[in-house]
Order: sequence, then C-alpha cells, then structure tokens
Amino acid sequence: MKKVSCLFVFLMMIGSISSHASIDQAERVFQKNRSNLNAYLEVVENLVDARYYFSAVPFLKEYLVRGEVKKSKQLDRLLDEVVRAVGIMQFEVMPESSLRHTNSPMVKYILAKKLFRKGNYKEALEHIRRTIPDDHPIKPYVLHLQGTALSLLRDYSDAKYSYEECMDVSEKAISSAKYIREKRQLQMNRDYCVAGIARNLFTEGKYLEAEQAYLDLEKSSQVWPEILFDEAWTSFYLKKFNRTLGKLVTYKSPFFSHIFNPEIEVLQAMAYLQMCLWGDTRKVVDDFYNKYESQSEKLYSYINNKGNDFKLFFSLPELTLKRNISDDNLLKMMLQSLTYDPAYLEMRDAYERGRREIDYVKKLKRSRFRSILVNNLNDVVILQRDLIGSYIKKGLSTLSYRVEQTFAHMSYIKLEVIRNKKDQIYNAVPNTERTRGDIQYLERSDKQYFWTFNGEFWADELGDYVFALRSECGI
Amino acid sequence: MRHIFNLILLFVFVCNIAIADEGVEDRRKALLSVIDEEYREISRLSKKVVGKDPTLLLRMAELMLEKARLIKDAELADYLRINPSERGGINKNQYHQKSRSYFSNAQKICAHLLNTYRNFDNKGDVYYVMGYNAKEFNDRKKAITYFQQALKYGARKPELRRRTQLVLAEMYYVDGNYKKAIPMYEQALGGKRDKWWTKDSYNLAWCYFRVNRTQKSISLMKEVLTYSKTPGYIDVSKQVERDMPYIYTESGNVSESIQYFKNKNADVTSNLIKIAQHLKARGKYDKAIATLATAKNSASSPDEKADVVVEELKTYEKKGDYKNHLRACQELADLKKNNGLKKEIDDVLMYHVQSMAAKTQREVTSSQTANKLQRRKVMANLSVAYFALLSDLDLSKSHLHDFHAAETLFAAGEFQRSLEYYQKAESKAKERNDSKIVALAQQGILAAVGNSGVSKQTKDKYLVEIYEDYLKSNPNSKKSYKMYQHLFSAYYDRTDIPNAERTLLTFKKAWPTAHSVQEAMLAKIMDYYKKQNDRENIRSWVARIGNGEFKVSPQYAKKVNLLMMTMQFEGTEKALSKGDKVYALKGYVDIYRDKNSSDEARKNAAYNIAYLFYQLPNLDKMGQWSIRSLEMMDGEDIKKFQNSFLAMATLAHDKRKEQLAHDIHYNVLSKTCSLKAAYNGDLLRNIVIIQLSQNKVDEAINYISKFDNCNIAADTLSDVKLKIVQHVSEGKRYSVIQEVVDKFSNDKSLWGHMIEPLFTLRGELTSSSEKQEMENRIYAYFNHAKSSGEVPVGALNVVAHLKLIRLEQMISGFTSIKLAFPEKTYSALLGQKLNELNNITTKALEILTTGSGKGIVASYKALVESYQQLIDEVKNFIPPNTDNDYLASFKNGMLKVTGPLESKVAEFRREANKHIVQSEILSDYNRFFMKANSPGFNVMYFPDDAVIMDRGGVR
Repeated sequence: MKKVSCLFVFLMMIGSISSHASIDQAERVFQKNRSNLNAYLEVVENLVDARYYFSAVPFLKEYLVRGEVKKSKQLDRLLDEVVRAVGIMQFEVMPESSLRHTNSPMVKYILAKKLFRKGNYKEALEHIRRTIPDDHPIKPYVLHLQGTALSLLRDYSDAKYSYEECMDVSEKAISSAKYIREKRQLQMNRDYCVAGIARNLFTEGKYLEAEQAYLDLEKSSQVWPEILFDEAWTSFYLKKFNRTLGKLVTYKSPFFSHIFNPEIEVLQAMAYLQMCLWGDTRKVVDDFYNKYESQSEKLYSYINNKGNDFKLFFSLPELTLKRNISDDNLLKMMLQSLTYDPAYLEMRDAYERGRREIDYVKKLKRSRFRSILVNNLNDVVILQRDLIGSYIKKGLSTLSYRVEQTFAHMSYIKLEVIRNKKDQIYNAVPNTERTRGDIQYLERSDKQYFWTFNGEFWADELGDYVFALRSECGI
Repeated sequence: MRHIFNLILLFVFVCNIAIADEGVEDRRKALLSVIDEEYREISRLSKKVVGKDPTLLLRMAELMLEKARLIKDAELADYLRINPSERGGINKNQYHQKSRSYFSNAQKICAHLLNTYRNFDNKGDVYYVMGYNAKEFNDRKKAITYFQQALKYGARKPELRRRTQLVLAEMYYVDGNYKKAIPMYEQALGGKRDKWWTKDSYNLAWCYFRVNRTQKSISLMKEVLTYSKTPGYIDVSKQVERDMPYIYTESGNVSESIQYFKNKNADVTSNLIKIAQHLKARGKYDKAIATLATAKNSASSPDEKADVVVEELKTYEKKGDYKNHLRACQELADLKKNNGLKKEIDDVLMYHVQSMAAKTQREVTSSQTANKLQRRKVMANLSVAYFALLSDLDLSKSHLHDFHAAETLFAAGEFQRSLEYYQKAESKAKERNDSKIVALAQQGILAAVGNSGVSKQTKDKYLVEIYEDYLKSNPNSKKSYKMYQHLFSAYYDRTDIPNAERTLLTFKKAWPTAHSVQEAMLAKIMDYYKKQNDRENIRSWVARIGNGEFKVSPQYAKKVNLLMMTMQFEGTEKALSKGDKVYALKGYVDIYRDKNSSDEARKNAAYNIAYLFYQLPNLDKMGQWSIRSLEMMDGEDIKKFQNSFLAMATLAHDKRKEQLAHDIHYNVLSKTCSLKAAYNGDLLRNIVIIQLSQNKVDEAINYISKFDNCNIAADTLSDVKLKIVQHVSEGKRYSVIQEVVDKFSNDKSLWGHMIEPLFTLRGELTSSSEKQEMENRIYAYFNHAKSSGEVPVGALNVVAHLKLIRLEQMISGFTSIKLAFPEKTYSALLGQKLNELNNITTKALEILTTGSGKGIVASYKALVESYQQLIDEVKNFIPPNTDNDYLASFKNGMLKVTGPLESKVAEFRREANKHIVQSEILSDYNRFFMKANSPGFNVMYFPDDAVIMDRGGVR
C-alpha cells in the first residue's frame, strides 16, 4: 500500500533544435532586459519555442522565486510545457511558497505531491480536486493521487470513484498517446488505480472483495509483481495461509529477481506460524538472519559513511550491477529493485536529455548568452544527477531500515515458536502422543517443497500456486 | 508484532510447576535448552531494535529467574542425593552457587530497568521478578514489598495480578498473617480454576479457619476434597482428611469429630487426646482443656481417665494455670489413693508436684516479685499447697516438706503463718531424729517471730527474751548480726534508750568492724537526744565519736558536728530572723568566746558579728570583726563571702575610712589571689583607686605588680593601669609621668592614653633631637591606637597640635616671600608663593585627617589667612615706574589670580563652618569663622588649671 505512483513524465521526443530564430529572439530579449526579471518569461517563451526546455528551467525557477509573479495563462502554459519535458523533480525541490504563484496543473500536482508526502492529505486534495481540466495530460496521475489520499482519509467510496475515474481517463489517454514511453506510464498509472480499488477494499476490511478485485489486475502489468505481495496479505487475513505461501513462493521465480522486499519472508514465517509449523517458521527466520545479518550491518555502515556524496550514489548502480557478484548480495538486490522502478528510469532519462541539450547549445554561435545557457544547463544537469543520487541513497536507507525491522519481526516470530515449545514441555505433553494427518509432512525437507519450482516457473502459473500443508495447531 | 511478544510475556513461568519424577531431568534439560535459545533470540532481537527496549530487558530478567529456579531444582536434587550422614558436613550454599548467579543477574537487570525506565509500562512484571528473587534469598520483607509494588503497577494485567496475589497469599499464609492472605487468595482464585486450585484453596480454607471463619473453612475443605478426587487437579485429599476432625474440634464441634472417629472405628479418647495435644501445641489451651473434658467423659477405665488427667496437667502447666494444675494433681493423687497408678503416671504426678512446688517457691523468693506482694502471696499459698500435697504423697520426707512450706511463708513475709509450719517441721523432725531440721526450724522460729506481721502480742511475749537468750549463748554467731539489730530496735521502740545503748555497745564488741550498723544505731540514739534537746548527752556522744571510740564515716562526723553547731546557733539565728540584731550579736559573741565552740563555729560567729556591725552600721566594730574573721578564714571561705567583704570595704571607703577599706580589700585579695574568684579584679581596682585618691601613685603601681597574677582578666588589669595613667595625665609631675610611662608602655592598649602624658614630657625637653624623638614616639603610639580603634580626643589634639606647629613654620616662610618688580621677578615670586601655598594646603589637609576638632578649625584658619595674605599682597601691589595703562592692564590681569583664591577662601570658610556645626567643635577659633553668631569676643575655655565658679561667683 506504500506506493503512490510517483512519476508521470511525458517525454517529448524532441526533434532537431533548429529554431535559431527563437534562440536569437531569446538572446535579444535577454540582452535588452538583462536586469528585468519580468522579461524572463519572454526569454522562456522563445527557449520553449526552440525546444530548449532544460535551458528554460533556471529562468523559470528564478522568475518564480525572485520575480514579482503575476498569475498568468502564459506562465501556466510555459510551466506545463517545461515540466512535461524535464520531469517534476527539478521543480519538486522548490519551496512551496514559490510554487503557489501559478495555476499550472502540473505545478498543482507537484504541490499536492509535496503535501501528500508530508501526510497533509486534505490540503493536497484542495490543490488538485476539481481544479484540473479533464483533458489535461496530468489528469490521470492526479486522479491516482486523489484516490490514494481519499483512501488514507478513510473516504473509501470517493476513493473508489477516483480510482475508477483514473482507470477511464488513463485508458483514454493511452489510446491517444503518441509515444511508447508515455503509453507505458499511463498503463502503469491505470494498473495502480486498479490495484488501488483492491487496496481500498482491503483497508476497509473487505478482504474477500479485495481478493476478487486484485484479480482485475492483469498479470502482464508491470506493477503486478509488487501487487502480488498485497494479495498474499489479503489471503493471510482471510486465513488462507496455504494460498499466502503459494503467492509468496512466486517471488522465488527468476522473473521477479528485481523485487526486493524483506517483508515477503516475514509474511511467509507468519503463515507457517499460524499453521503451527514451528520447524518451518524457525527455518525461515534463521535463514533470513543467516542470509542478511552480516551484510545488513556492513551496508548500513557503508551508507552512513558515504553521507551526502550524491555523485557516488548516482553512479553506484552502474558500478555495482556491472560487477560480477552473487545474486544474493544485498546491495545488488536493493539496487536492482531501485533501478527497476519507473521513477528512477524517468529521472535517469531526463538526465540524459539534459546532457544532450548541453551539446546542442554548445553548437550555437559563441556569445555571452550561449555561455549563460551552458552554465545554466550544467547546473540543471548537476542538480538532476544529485537528485538521482539522493533518490538512490534514500532508497537504500529505507530498504536497509526495513531489513533491520524485519530482523526484529523475525525474532518476535521465533520467540513465539519458542514459547510454544516451552508450553509443550511445561504441559508435559509427550511427543509420542502428537498425531498428524500425514507422516510425510514431518519427514519432508524444504527442498522437497521447492524443488519442483526451481527453474520451472511458468509465467502463466505465477501467483497461482497454493500450498497443501496441514495446520498442526491443536494437535 | 509487538502484541505477539506481549503474549509471550504473559506466559511467565508457572509457579511451582510440578515436574513429574519420571523424566524430570530430561525435561529440565529440555527447558533449560529452550530458555537458552530464547535468551539468545532476545539478545539478537535487542540488537535490532532501534533504541533500548525495556520490554526486552524485562524478558531477559524473567528468563534469568526462570533458569535460576530450574537450576536450583537440579541443585537441590543433587544435594538430596548425597547420603544424609555426609550431608551434614557440606555447605549447602555451595550447591546453589550457579542458581544464585542467575538470580543475581535477574536482580541486576531489574534494578537497571527501574533506574533507567522510570515510566516503564511493565513495571509490575519487573517488581514481580524482584519479589521472586528476594524470596529466593529469604528476604521475605523485601519480597512482600516488591510483590505489593507488582500488584500496584500490574493492576491492569490480570495474569500478573493473579500470580502476584497467589505468591503474596502464600507468603502471608506461611507468616501466619491470615487476614492479609485471605483477600489475596480470594481474588486470585476467583477466576479460572487450574490444577493448582485445590492446593491454593486448601491453604485458603486454613486461613478461614485461623480467623475463625470456621463454616467457610469447612465448606471449602469439602469442596477441595471433591476436586482433589477429580482428574486434572492436584490431590490434597490426605491432608484434608487429616485436618477435618481438628477443625471440627477447634471450632467447638467436638461431636462431629467424635462422629468422624466413630465412623472410622477409631479410639475416641486417645484421638481426642491427640487433638488436645495438637491444640495445646498451637497454644489453644482452653479448647484443648474442653476437648480433654470430653475425652475424660468418654474414658472407659481409671487408667484412661488417668491418661486424660495427665494431659490436663501438662496443658495447665503450659497455660500457667497453677490453680487448676494443683486441682488436677490432687485429682490424680485421689486416683492413686483409690485405685493406684501406673508407675509412669505416678512418676509424672510426682514430677509435676515437685517441680511446681519448687517453681512457685522460686517465684516467691525471686527479686522480680519483691514489689508484687499480691502475686507473691498467691504463689506462696500455692507452693505451701504443693508442699502439703508432697507431704502426703511422700511421707518419709514429710518434715522436710513442712519445713520448706515454712520457709516459703517466711520468704513471703507471712511470718505468723510460717511459725505454724516451723513448729510442725520441728516436731516431725524430732520424731525422726533429724537434728539438722530441728535446729533449722528453731532458727526459723527465731527469725520469723522478730519480723513485722507477727502480732504484737506474740512479739511482746517472746521477742526480747528469745533474742537475749540466744545472744547470750551465740554472741558472735552469724545470725547474731541481725539479732542485735532486732534487739536494738525492740528496745528503741520501747524508748528503752539505756538498754538500746547497751545493745549498741555489745554489738560493737561482737561486731567491731560493722561500722555502718553502729553508725545507724548511733544516729537513732542521737536523734532521740536531739528530739529531747539533750545537749549534754549529744555532746557526750560527739566526744566519744571525736575521740575515736566509734568509727563513723566523714559525712556522718560532719553531720554530727553540724548538729552540734546547729544546736549552738539555733537560738541566735532565731533571734536574728526576728530582727533582734543585738540579741543575735550577743549570741554570736558567746559562741565565739565559748571554749567548747569549734573553730568552725567561732569563725562563722566572727563573720556574722562583722556583718551585723556592717548592717547596723558600726564601722569600727565592723572593721575589727571583719579583719578577725578574715584571719580565721582560708581562701575558699573568703571566696564564698567575697562580695560581702567587698560591700564592707566599699562602705569603709565611702565613709572615708581609707585605711580600713584598704585593709579589708588587701586581706581579701591576698587570700583569694590564687583562686579564681569573681571579684579579684574589682578588689585590685579599688585598692589602686584608694591609693590614687591619696595620690599614692607609687603604691598603686606596686600593688599592680604585686597582684597582677591574681587570675585577673587582662582587660581588667589594663583598665586598672589606665586609672593610673589617667591620674598622672591630669597632673604635671614629670617624674611620676615618666615612671608610669616607663612602667606601662609595654601594654599597647594604653598607648592612646599615653599620648597626652608623652606630650607633657615633650614640653620638658630642651634638646630638639630629644623633642623630635618624643614626637616620633607620639606618632608611633598614635598610629597604633588609631589602627586598634579608639583614640582619646586629647591624643588627637596633641597630634594635630604637633602638625600645626609644622604648618605654622611653613606659613611663616610663605609670608616672608614678598612680591617685587620688574615684571619677570614678580612672576617668579608669585609662582613661588603659589607653590608654597599649595604645600600649605596639602599640609593643612593632612591635619584635617587627624580627626581633631581643634586641629580642623585651626587648619582652616591657617589656610584662610594664608590665602588671604596672598590676595591682599597681590591686590595691594603697585608696579613701580609704570603708566596708568600698564597699571590698569596689570590690575586686570591680577584679577585672574586673586579671583580663584578668593573663591577658595570662601570655600574654606564654608567647610570650616560646616565642620564646626556638624561635629560640634568647640575651638578658640570658632569666632573667626562664625562671626555672624559671634558674641563679639573670643570665647576661652580653661581645661587645665581653671577653677569654675559657682553661680554666686564664689570660688
């Protein structure tokens, strides 16, 4: 339930930047009104016309921060166009007060996201609810955000309505989208909204309905692997522990090697625990400790030691993933998980486009204005790099913290197993008196459990496995 | 996830889990292994939890405790496996070292928890662990406190509350605090019933019984019995069946017990005896006795009855009910008489009668009952009854038992009654030819008859004769010592003093070293004569004491002398108290002249005579007798009357009898000099003043030398010396001044006062170097006096005067400088004068700081005159050979010089005025500054040789 779809950037396939007329005009305006911030809008207008979006970013930011901003349609339009091209991150780092100077739907979305992150759901909704035109490209993403906020505010019916609307609007947008990347983003947004309906029901405590709603999500969806975990939880709440285990075993599939979620093992252990399969529970717990304990400590200190060296974190995925290290390397798994995330990919893409724009600008005739543009672009690209580095660092810290939390959870689970064992000894129930439906369950090893799955996952069976273990509770 | 852990916490070691014998070791090992595993997991978890989690620490403590208890069980099992004969030589604590270390660890963790996490939610659990630890270490008081804390903080945790209540209930139960145990058990057992319910309820039933809630106890016991026979509950049926008859009996429902025994075909009498024994052991004597009464009724033979009575005997003995014990003894004696007794029963009877006779007798003679007469009387009667019973039971020693009865009565002070038993004992002893007892009985008769409580009739008839006869034949026997005293008392009571005196003399002969008894007898005789006012006989006995015929204590000797003297003084002092001083004087003179009067009496008489003359007053006689008494008295005596003598001397001085005053002072001080007497300082001061009043300075100085070591405080001594210094300061006798200054200059506290005399001496000096030397000495004395506080005004004036002399010299030099032209010379001279004026000002200001009023006014006067002199000189100066323009310009220029000087003059005048008024200075020069209020002429003061006229102008 953690994730609100965060990225939407429409990448513009920028054609050749040949509109020298606009650039020249931009230069003229700039030279003539160098100290007049209000003239920046005209400079931006000409840069956008020439599709120099990244070059326009510093002028826009400076105008928003320092200028006597008057809300205008021109400003809104320019912001929409620039944000669509460079992504929201460049503007997300700006202070809220500066972002309030415009009615740009894009900026409203950015503002709402900022407030959402702070847990200020009501105010976030005030910025986006009924303020964005239905045909605006940001609308599908706004509806997703709106549904999530409403769900968190326990307004389940409105949340459901928002998700459904999100699905419709996204669907329409997909059909009219020009670029594949844009299409894919819209599809993911739609699928998150599909899952959002199920999550909404789960939050409402309607587990059976939630279980059904999850089935609406296509297995081919990019978000499905992530949502499978939600499904496993739903089964757990429905006390269908064998189904929970079946869904979780799917994560063993090589298709999901990019998923790193330590809570999968916790849920697995809890399912065994609920079925009083003490040995299995202990095994999951001990395996988790054996696998991650020493790695986790090293990783934690590594992240802390590097501090805010965002340049290093920026290049860390490339450096790490290229190295020939084992698949159960914790850092590798975390980085795989982070770099698979669409948000990362979008940021990285924007970074590359920014760099390309520098090359284009450098080809312009030498002038003072060109130097200014190159400097500005360098700043923008460095900021983008640091934002990506920060994203990686934060991602690693969060995952690392979750691993630590998982250790604690695992210990609590093991203590529960120990309690049961002690209980048995104190109550002097001889082992010989225990009866179990089928002796084979006592003798099997976990290899026997999973052997059949190793390397033999069929994509269409994924998520449909169900275990057939008998609960030993009360025996 | 936390809730799962909390669930774990709820499951805390079940108390006293019974591990079945079979496989106990294996299961214990298995448990220890699980505990270790859990501990490891908790440790691992604690590393993963962000921040410290007190819940984990608590769990660790609980695991430590759980492990400690399991290990302790194992250790105990090991210990019990040792052969009992070897076990005695082994230190049991050694076997518990390991478990103790775990208990200790648990305790440390708990203490850390409480100190670090004061608001910890699970404080109750922590206290529970600590309570258990304290219990394990046998610190029950602390354990109860901790468990109470656990209850307080765990009020909202039902399982913890239940466990704690059970532990507390059990502790209270073991301590016998049933009232506290009951609510704990009731609350803890109110909920679910686990297998331990029977065991805990069994305890609760006993608690009910102990607080007399018998019905509730019985009904709960029945319920426990039922559940004990139900599977799943601990079986305590054997204990219940054992205790039920006891509970019936103690609750007064003996018939139920009898029925219970009958139902089981058991012997009712012997079982009731057993219950009675149990009741007796618990201190329930009345119930035991009641049970024995029922048992006696159910007895079917004399032997059974004897068994019951024997148990009665024991119960009454335990209860301390001697009366009924005696009755039971008598009952058993009757049974013996009628049916005979089994030997062992007979032995018990004899033992009880003998021991109780002895015990009661011991109590009679004990010092503890000395002041409890009633108790002693009761014990004596009981003892006599036991001896009487013994006399019947043991005929061969009957005379001895009678004698003991007599002795008991004697010891109890029942002398009259004791005579009867002495006579009986004597008579029986004669029959059995036991001469020893015969003699003892006779002595007893003698001793008893002479004591109080024996009727006068008996005493009058026999006492004196018995004593005289006895003493004739046994004058020096041990018993005679008391006998003489009784005889003396008998004679004295009859006021037969001659025979009393004879008895005293006989006693002295027989017991020459018994001085204290002799003294007591003497005292009685003296008292008698005192009451009779028979001085002759008193004098005679005092003389016999005085010549050593009787050895008495010094205190008594003093007392006798005092008695003698009191008798002498009695009449005189009576007259004095009535105000008849003449009669009193006469009386005292008679005592003084009486040859028989002791020195002490004469001395006192002399003093009293002197004092009476002082009061009359008759100075000559007072002087004569005071000197006489002072000669007779030693220092200590005089010290007591020092203030009286001082008063007499003062009176003499007031009446200008200087010689007498001096003599009294001198005599007193001479004798009290070595003592710490309060008035030594005053005496010396008075002597010196007397000498000074006669201008005998040398003598005064000599007295100071003579008496300066008479324990007189240093400041008092300095004060006395000061009198001399002041005396000589007022005069102009240079030689005397010189002597005094030389004599006392080592006393620095006098330096301030010596400045004036030194100044006087300076006036006599002619050599300027000597004068300078003297001045230096004056300044040194002045500086010391100033630093130590107070300086006499005269001294201040002297110092100011000396400084003024110097100032005047400077002014003289200043005045001698005369202004002159040409202009350059004029300027140089004027500058020189101004410079000198500045020096004069500095010097004058220095004089101001001396604090002398006269000096201050004179200084200001000198300043004003000096400044004015310069002003006038400048103003009046006319430059020679100059034209008018120059002159005008010159005058105008000089105004700038004279202007500030005039302001300064005005300022000096104002300041001088201010000082005169504020400090109330009387100076010859006041008029100089206060012309406005001046009478028009200089006021003169004559401090030295002036004579003040009276109003009439007559000298």
